[in-house]
Amino acid sequence: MLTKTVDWLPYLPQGLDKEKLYQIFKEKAEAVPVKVIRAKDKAEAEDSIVQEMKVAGIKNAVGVPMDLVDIEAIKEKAKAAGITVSSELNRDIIEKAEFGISEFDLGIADTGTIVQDADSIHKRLVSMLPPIHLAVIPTKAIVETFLDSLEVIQKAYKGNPSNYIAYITGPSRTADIERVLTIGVHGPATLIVVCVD
Amino acid sequence: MPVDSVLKAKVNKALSDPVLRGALGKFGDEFPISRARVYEGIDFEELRTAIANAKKEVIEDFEALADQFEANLKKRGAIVHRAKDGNDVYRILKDIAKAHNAKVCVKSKSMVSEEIHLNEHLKDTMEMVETDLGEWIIQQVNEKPSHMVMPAIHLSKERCAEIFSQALGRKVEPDISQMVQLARQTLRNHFLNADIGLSGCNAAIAETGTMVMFTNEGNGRLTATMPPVHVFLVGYEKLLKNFKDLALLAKALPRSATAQALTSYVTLISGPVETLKDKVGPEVVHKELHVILVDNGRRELLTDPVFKEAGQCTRCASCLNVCPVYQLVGGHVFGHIYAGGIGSLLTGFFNSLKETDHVQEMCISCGRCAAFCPGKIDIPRLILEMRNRVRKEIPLPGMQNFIVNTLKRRGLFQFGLRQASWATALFAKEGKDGNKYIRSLPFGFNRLANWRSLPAFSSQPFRERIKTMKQEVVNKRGKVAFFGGCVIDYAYPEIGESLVRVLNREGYEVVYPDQTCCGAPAIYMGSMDVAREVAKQNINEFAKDEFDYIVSACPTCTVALKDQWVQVLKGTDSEAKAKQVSAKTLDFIKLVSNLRKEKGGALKETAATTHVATSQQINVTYHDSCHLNWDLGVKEEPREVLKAQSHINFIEMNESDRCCGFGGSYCIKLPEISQELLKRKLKNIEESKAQIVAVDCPGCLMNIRGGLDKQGSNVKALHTAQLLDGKY
Repeated sequence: MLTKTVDWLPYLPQGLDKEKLYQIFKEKAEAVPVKVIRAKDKAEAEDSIVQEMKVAGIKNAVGVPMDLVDIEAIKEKAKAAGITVSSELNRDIIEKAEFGISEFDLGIADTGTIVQDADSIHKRLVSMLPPIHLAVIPTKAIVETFLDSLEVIQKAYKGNPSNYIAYITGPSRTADIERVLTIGVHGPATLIVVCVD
Repeated sequence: MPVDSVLKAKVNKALSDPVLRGALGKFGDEFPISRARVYEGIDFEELRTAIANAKKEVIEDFEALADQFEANLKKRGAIVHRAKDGNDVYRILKDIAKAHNAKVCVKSKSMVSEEIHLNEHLKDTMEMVETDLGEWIIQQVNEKPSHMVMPAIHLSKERCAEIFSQALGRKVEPDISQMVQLARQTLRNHFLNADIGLSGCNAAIAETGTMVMFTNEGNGRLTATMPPVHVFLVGYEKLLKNFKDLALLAKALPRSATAQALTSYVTLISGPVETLKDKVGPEVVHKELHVILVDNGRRELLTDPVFKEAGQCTRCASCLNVCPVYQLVGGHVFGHIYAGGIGSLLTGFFNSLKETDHVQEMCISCGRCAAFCPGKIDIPRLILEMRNRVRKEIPLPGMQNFIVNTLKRRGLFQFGLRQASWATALFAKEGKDGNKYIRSLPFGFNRLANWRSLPAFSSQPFRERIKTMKQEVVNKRGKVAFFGGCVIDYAYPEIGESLVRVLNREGYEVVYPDQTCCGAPAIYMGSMDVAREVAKQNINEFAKDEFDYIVSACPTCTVALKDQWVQVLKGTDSEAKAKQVSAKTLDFIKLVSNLRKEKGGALKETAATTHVATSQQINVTYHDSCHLNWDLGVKEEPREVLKAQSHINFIEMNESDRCCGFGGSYCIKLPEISQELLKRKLKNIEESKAQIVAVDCPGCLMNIRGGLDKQGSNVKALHTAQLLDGKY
């Protein structure tokens, strides 16, 4: 069973050039900056996620149930590296966690953006509170423009979009003091996107 | 023409604030470059036309769209309120706070809340915590935002560190990343404990009942997620008709505001979202979502036949970012709550005409902002309309009023200008470049001249000189009517003579119809009525079939003849004549460029009868006069014509299209600002290493020539007509 209330994939524009869009997405996202990783299947994606946790040197991560990867498998693989992964909807655990994992529904090549139906409080908390956020998206769900993403949403929800749709482009940032760009204000300072084929 | 001493004091304080000058100056230099980069590959004209059209549709139908927006939200379980002013908003929020026994309210950015001084009015009800970093900083010291997007741009990191130290009760170093981390930690607790979240909104989509926030820090997401109650403050002008219209805003707003392709977060909320019960869960419940549609002058704005155009604003603040005056003084001088050009318009409706008086006075009418506005608003023109409205309520001081009214008494006006020639002659001496300047003025008038030399008036105005000029028309093609304008007529008649000779060589006879002031000074001083009188006095002499073209060598006059006469004479019996004049009017350099192109594409002059030795190569740079460049869209023509002269080495100076600071009566009203703008212009001219700076506006010429004389420069300032004539 899908973890999502509405599946966006059937509503993607026809004839997308997957490879080309992935390349643009990667280039634009890296400029923001986002770390972009490509995984050919579920197992490879799960391994990459655990690898990223090890690179970050973290001990506590949180995640939500997902379709593209198996949160239980991630827990197992992380455990071997001495990392605890919780998928419990517990505000204080999520708030103290160093790493959050969630699944997004779509990518936008033009701006290196990821898009999610974020009505679920659980999905929002894991992507907002920890200092590092890792999102998995289906590689085939990268559209070209912001307008394309709105059209997918319009169709998928039959004109009644979900109560909360989130667009994320890079880490949390500010330039409010002397216009000096500083990463990581209220949201994550690091964003990693794993594109799963 | 002094403006009041309160404004003067504010201007002087800002000009002597090195932190403000440094921050704004640096930003002003960098913004246009990064903005241009992020718009690469996008047709800005096409995009902003689409935005303006979408917004116009909303403006015409905003009541119905507001109803649709409300109905859609109610279907989803949101509670929608309508507030006619700040008092209504306070009452609604106090009721919500009371119902939830709320102690803390976290706020993400909302300009509406600033506009109605919300924090001040709610502080006894609950603790109001700003969570946008810049807003939080200025909240600690009770300041107003000085910029719509970057509210604390006027503060240095050292000042921010002091504010942090005081707020947190411990020593904080002026280290920006450390301060950002401290803000994260401090505000995180507020987010976890807050009872109410309050947000502003960038777009309100009627079709789906969706509120959209563009944010970078992530505080908007937390405000919408953590507290059990969420309140949106939505201005009517934020409405969009269709869901897909959001793509237009997403393409323009971040690019024009912060030169980003997209902000870090774009949040779309269409109903009460999930949250944790009692803030901690684990039970999941739905939030209570309140939406307050705020009027506070917006309905009046959106139904005003002239000012509804300001409803096309996206609040990107790029009009501030490119404004040469804003860059000098910031939003606490050039602004009330909303700053800069658009701020002077919004303040007139959201606050009052009185409160916008000082704000609108700051605009020098250079027109630069209009070229950058993604809502395609003619901000400079609307500011003149606003000035006209303000002046009806708050008349000009006695002396200024006398001057404006003298314009419509043509006999007295011409008499005064003639007397100026012998009066200025008493104080005139020749300068290095051979021109006559006033060297000292009595009775404290020196203030007008001590930062740049003023020209002595000519002993014989152009209107007399043309009568005795022998016109040698080569292969006659037609007849041109010349509108001289006061500066050429009385101060620089030699420019008029050059124009006649250049046009004669192009095959045109030049006639000088009886004329008085074009009326522009009255418009820029806020008196449309005087401008209308003056236009009427001129119109019959120019609306004649015998003229193939009407030409002026002063772009400000050209704008008056081409656009402003049509506006002020609309609905009078002279309307048709104004349109006839408008259709034939061209600025001198545009006419020369057109005529030479007609002759077969060669811009090079065929009849080489120039008076100076053209064997000698000269280095020439060009200053773009604001009204020629920004209002009339003439930018390439003077360059093409000058480059086609074989003896001219054309050099492009830095910031050629930046205002020189003249601004007509502005340099008398706010000489402190004009002086700063001129300083920068002169620096750019000197650095270009040109021997001659060519300009197309006699006002800019007076200003730049006077500035060059004052600093003993070897660079000569000439009108393009003189340069093409070769006699100088």
